[in-house]
Amino acid sequence: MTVRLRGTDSTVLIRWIPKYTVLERFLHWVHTAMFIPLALTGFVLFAPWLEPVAQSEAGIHIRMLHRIAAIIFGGVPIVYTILQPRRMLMNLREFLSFSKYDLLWLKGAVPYYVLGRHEEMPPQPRFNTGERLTAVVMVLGTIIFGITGLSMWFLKGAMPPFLYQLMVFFHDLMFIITFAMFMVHFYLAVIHPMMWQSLVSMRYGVVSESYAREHHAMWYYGEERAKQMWEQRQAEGAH
Amino acid sequence: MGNIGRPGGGVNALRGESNVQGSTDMAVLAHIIPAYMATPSAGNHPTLADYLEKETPATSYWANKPKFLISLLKAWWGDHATVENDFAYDYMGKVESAANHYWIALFEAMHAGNIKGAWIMGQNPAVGGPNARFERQALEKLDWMVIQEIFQTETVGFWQEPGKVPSDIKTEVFVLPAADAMEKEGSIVTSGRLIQWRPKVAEPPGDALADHDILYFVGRRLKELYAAEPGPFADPITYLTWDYGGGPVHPLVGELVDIEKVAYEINGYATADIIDADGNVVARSGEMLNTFGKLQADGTTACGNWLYVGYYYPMSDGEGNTLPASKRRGQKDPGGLGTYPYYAYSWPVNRRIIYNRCSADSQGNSWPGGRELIWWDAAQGKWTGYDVPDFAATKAPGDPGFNDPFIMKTDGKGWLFGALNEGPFPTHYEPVESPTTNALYPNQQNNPAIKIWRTNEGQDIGNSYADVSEFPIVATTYRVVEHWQAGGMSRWLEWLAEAQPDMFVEMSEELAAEKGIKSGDMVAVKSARGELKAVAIVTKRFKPLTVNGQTVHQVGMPWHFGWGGGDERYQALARGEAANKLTPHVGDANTTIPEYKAFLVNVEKA
Amino acid sequence: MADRLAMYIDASKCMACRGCQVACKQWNDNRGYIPGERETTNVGTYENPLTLDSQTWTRIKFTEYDDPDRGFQWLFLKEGCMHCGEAACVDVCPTGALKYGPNGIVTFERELCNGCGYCSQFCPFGIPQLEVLNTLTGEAKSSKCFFCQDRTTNGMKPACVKTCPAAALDWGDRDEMVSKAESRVAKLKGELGFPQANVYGKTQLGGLGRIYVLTAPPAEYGLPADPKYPAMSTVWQKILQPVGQVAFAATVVGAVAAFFIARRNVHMEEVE
Repeated sequence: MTVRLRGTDSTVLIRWIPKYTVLERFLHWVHTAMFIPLALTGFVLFAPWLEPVAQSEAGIHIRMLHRIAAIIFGGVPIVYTILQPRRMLMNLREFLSFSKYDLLWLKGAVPYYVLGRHEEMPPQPRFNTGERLTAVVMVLGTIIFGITGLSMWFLKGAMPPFLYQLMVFFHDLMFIITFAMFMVHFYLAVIHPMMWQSLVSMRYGVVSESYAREHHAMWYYGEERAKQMWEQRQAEGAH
Repeated sequence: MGNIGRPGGGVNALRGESNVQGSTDMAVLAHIIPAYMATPSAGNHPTLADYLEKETPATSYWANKPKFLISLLKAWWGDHATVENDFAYDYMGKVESAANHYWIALFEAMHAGNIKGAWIMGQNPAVGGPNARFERQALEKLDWMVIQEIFQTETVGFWQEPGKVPSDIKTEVFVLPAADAMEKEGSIVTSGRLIQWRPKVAEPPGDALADHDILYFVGRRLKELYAAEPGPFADPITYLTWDYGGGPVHPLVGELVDIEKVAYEINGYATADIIDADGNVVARSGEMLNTFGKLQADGTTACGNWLYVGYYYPMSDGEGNTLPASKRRGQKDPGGLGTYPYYAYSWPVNRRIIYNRCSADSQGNSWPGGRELIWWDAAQGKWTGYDVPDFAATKAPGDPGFNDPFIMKTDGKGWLFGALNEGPFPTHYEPVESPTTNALYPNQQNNPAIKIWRTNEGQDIGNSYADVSEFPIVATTYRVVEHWQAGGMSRWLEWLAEAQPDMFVEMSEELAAEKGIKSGDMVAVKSARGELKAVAIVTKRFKPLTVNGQTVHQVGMPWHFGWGGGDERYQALARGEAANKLTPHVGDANTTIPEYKAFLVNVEKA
Repeated sequence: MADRLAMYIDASKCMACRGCQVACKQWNDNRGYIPGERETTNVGTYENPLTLDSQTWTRIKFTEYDDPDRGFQWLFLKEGCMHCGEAACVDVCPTGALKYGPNGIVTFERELCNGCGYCSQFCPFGIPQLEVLNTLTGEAKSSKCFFCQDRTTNGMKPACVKTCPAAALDWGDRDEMVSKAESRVAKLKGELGFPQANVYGKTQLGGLGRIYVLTAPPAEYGLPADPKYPAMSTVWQKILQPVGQVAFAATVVGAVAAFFIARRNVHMEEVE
């Protein structure tokens, strides 16, 4: 698309590259919309200082809301798998491939995102390290929430108490991990000034060519080429 | 031994229910009238003189029997009981001599069609009677039955028992809803002869009425009917003292009873001024009496029960209050012996421990050891201490009979055995249904003095007896704590029904293994007289017996249950069949108490 | 605590009359057999109900036991909330319905319960009974004995103690109940010939609010021989919960700080 720069006569040509399908975006937002009430209702049960909120009729309704949201939350990956199984598998494969570049990315993440240093970040595939970590945590979380949650819901009394106790523990542990992850994800994807394109991508499904070149070189150039370019720059920068 | 008449010692009759003592005191038994006097019999006691002569011993406190009987007659027929008409002795109902009027005999007579009507108050023969199928059949022979009950028991609805055809049964049944114990005021008596007055604490539901209100109404109606159409010999009804009204007016039955009037009569009162030989006033006309010592044989006293004299007389409760003696709840225990003389009223005359003369030696000194109860006080010239002496108060050492404490016995001595139909010493006989022979008397299997009925022997419903080859297992019946008697009161209560919901039969693991029965299985228990289904409880608490070298199995059942099916209205919450379908019409030698506890059965998985 | 009260339960005197079971229901307006709604049958034992439930907060367990010293014994145990000194149910309850109340009673306020059921799974004795009213919505309520709080806070004894005709139950200062139990066990072992007699509840779980006199080893009565405070409760409530809240707070603070720092450092004209 052609974009006029504000206050000038100049225009830039922006080429957009599709990254997410309509279904993926829709389900993402559904997942998000469910995660928040799940976290809030869960937090009410988790935090001792919220006892007064968790009591009585209100407490019963909070628990009910948690379950309704949980069904939808758990239903999201199932719907996705049914409707777009090949994309689901493709994404899953991408989520689960990590390499030494991810360590480098992590090393550079704080200087880059906090201090704004455009130091060389290593090339990234379609999903950068952070995105993949978020995805892994969220997928793992959804699965573990599902197993532990369904056990707590339907199998109370049908399993040995110790097993139930483990279920509760892991449910809460995943809550801590996923919520922490969620806050980081929310900050970086929505709040961070530099990352305005993240929100665009999840709203419109596209990223700009220049963004892809910078942030997802392996995706833009292809893996081999991107690595080559990186090695080369490293060699040049070394001296 | 040696502890009679002392605190913590004997002789005590341990009664089984909360007011059975009261019921026997008031003669709810075939062979006695109130306060343990013999029921007059047409054959033996045609006149008052015959009765007094035959029934009054020369010695012992029973020598005062004429005072007791005449005071009773005076209570019942009031001004119509005079010296001239032998105090209305002829109005009193008499039994045929030598007839057995106990339970089994009653139901046998009913079954034979000799009893036209039955008036049943708070009893459930369909469950509690032996050979229940036979007795349920006996009820069908009645022309009419009136039953006062608090719940719809198996007797209330006997004609609707599963398997019966109601239209074949001609009995006219009148059900009168009754108030239960908490819903009426009155007294009960414990094993310790303690008469406790109890208040009414709840209103009976709907039209339910106290037994005394129902009877008072019926009595008034009978009198009205006889007044309208006099029949032959209506006098006993027409002249019967029946002025117990004064309670509130009930829409169905009119004036209800003022129970204090009943208590007044039972307690006893003077019908005229009574002055003794020295000119002292013993009692004024109309005044309640405070001791049976004041009863007279000349009609100047009236008393419904000579043992109870004083039970409604005002007495101190030791805490500053004066009220009818049996209403007292004083907590003081002077002497610390646990006699609590200010609590309620022990008959007779608030004597807490009977035969307490035995608590002192032949000099009148209390046996030592910290339980001194009464002793002879020479200075005062009388017996004194922490109880009312069960003895002539002024009988001094050296007086004749000073060492004869058993004042109700003609010789004043304690008897190891009384005048019974069998005895004198315990021995061993087998029950009528037994798996073995009498090891002690090979030629006398059963007690020769028991009564065995054989009506309709061999029929489906009849008095049949088992062949041990067909019924090799010994059975007994017992109770559970959760249910009470024939279950009319307890099987309807949800907490009790939950704790003990079903009829069961308990057996040993060995018997269960033989029959392929597991705990919880339904089993059929069968005797020569009937069959029932029950849940099996297999337990180590039952063990096979070895009797005369043979292994004999035993089973046990509670007897509280009813039909085990049928019309929901009669089912109660706790369900099951009556153990008494299996028991026999065999009565013990003295009391005709049925042989409920030992008979033969067989058990199979159902 | 000095004013901790406890219930003394002498299994050697208990005759399994179920007066306690019924008195508890009567005092607390709990139900028994209701046709069509709450039915039960005899499954081959005197014991009924077979477990505690929302209407049954105490009951008698019947066990037949072949005692090596005394031969066959029929053991009776009055089951109910142990009122632990260290109560896992209190620690895991998210609403505060379960709390340490006056005199060491573990109280339960039914109105506050939101039916999560954690208490029923963390109790080492399996006492609290969750009554699920709707599996789908999760509507439920828990229940357990709370030592007749309305009576005991007014100087009265619990209903069960008051009714026991065998004097097998008592109620009072915990130290006194413990020494009463120890004297009774000494007598049972000594002159009465019950060598396996023991006191149960003196030290377990911070000391139980029920002090039992048993004539056989606890396991024979179905009691855990060595009940422990559940490790998962410690890990969950005492470690994960505080750590988790710190982690949340840290993440939020970190993100906010990062935002303000980043805003200064990030030059938007360089952003793609």
